[in-house]
Amino acid sequence: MRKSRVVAAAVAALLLVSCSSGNHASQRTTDVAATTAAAATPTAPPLTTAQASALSQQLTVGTDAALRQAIAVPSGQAVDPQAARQLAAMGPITFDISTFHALDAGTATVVGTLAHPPAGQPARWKFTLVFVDKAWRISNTEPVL
Amino acid sequence: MTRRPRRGALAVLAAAVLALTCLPVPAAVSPALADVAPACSRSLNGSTLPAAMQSASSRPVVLVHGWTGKPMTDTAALLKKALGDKISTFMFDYSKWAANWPTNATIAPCLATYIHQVSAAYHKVGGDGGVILVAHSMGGLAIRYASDAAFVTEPITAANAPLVITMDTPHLGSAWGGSFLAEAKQIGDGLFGRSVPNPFGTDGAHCLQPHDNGKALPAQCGGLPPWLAGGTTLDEIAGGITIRRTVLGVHLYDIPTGSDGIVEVASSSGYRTSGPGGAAPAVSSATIGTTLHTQVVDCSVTTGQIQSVLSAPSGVFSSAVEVVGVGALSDYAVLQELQNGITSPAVLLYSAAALPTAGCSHIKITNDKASVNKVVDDIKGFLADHPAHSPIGPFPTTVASAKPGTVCGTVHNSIVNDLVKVTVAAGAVPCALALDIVDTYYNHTPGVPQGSGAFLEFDGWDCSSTSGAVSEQTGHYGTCEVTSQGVAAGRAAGGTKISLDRP
Repeated sequence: MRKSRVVAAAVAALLLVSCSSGNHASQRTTDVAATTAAAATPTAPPLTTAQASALSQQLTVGTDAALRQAIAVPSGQAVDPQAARQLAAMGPITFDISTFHALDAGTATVVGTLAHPPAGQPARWKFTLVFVDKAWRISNTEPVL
Repeated sequence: MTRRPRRGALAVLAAAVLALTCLPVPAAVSPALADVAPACSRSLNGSTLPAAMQSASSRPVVLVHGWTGKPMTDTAALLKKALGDKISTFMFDYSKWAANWPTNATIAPCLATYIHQVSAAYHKVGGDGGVILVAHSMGGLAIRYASDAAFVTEPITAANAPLVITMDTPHLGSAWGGSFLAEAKQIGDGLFGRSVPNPFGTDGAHCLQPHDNGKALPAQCGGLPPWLAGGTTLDEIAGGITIRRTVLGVHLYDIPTGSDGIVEVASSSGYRTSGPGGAAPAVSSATIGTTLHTQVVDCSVTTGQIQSVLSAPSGVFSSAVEVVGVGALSDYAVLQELQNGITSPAVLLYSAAALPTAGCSHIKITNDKASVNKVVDDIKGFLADHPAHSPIGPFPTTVASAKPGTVCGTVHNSIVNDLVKVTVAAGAVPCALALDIVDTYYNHTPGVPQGSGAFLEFDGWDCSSTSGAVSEQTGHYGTCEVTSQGVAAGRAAGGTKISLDRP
């Protein structure tokens, strides 16, 4: 445990030094730059009930186009053709917007509950959202245990 | 830092960003081990006694660990499990000096001496003296330096070591080399009483810098790793991690990294252009000549697994995550940077989080079943091709198979922390194999189970799980069935099915 802390502290310190070198920001891609630009604003936009409902609808309607509205995917990136169907089978998703928590101006988390979780998977998940193209989209998910 | 191709992004790991801040290396340090002598005394290390377990019918296999590493006991155990008495395993342990470059007097010269000792002991009991060498990472370079009279008094030869197998050996160096993080690891190890470079400047972290086509190593590191002795067979095994982006456990797309997280595949499969002169003479050459085989072991890690590592509240990464910021570590942001060859702090931290999870990563490949199976296959192939080196005949392949209804035992399912009863439901299969398959499915998953049935195909078997509701009602957890490949490989009878149930 003590060793882990030392390593963690070392990594943190090293990364802090690296961050301060200021050599990285200019290397971001356009899409990420949008997120970074959003970070310059003082607060994250809220997630409204309507937006949450739309997010659920887009994620579980079962089409690739809608899925790309719900999930932040780089333009031109092919997505597994089975994904939309598999996600549709889990829906709808009820987002608890009272759990909405801004991490920074362009990133937030919110907890959602799947109506039909697959075997062996929990119903409640924490969704990490990124604000891309003026909308909250899903970046990653973690089960709430 | 210039932009690197996507395939190299994971390899640069922390190195790239830390290289930006590369701090001066201490000019001199006086490590506690500086005055240790004689260098090769076995009382100073944990190497296996050369005469131990020697038998004419058991081929010696010497395992050589890597930079800042420890003896490869886990790999040895897996090899013994697969090959039984056909081999005897020997650990070359230079862990107290493992921060040094292999030209150090405690490494390549001692390795050469050790291999000669094991070879001689094998010959003494009636063997032919040929020892198989299995090396991880820098251990492979130690073997190369031990093969040249310019670096050791008594080089190893193809007669001593006819087969060399390297796992993730940086034949062309690594982006880690020269990075502050690598130097910091050496210093950190020293603080905890482990290997300390002596002197700095000829240490592994410094000398592992990338090189290719005859480009010289950094000053003080000596010459390039020499070619292996003529007549040697070299099998290079390279790990390559693919990151699978998932949302709610559903697969979206893959990003191959072309790296094991530390060493790029191009380097771990790069022997051919890695030595003096920059290009190996023809592989058939009697002077340099190796028979060269290259295998890439692919493995994957999901973004969900990476996020789990990053979000562990008291994990190694937690402090660093706080510094970088959780927002910067979103899959969307990081994967875009990875795909565009950008090595931001977030990318480096994210990539580092893949190391403890991906089976073929640099730190896991020596324990990874699929990877070690490649080594097993190499050794089997070698022994089959060299019957004079294998006095007791073919491998035992006939084990009594269990019939339908046989309860083979139970396996712990680490996912739900419960036991699963393993029963032969149809066909015929040895119980040891049945238990091994189920253990792999639940506890050493070689891939990502797919769909709501957690379908997974591996080693000629198809395994799946029932839904939570069904298992709750019936006590039936799932099945594993032999595929056509399984039948072709002769591992179990066609139609064989294993039932997984509540005990």
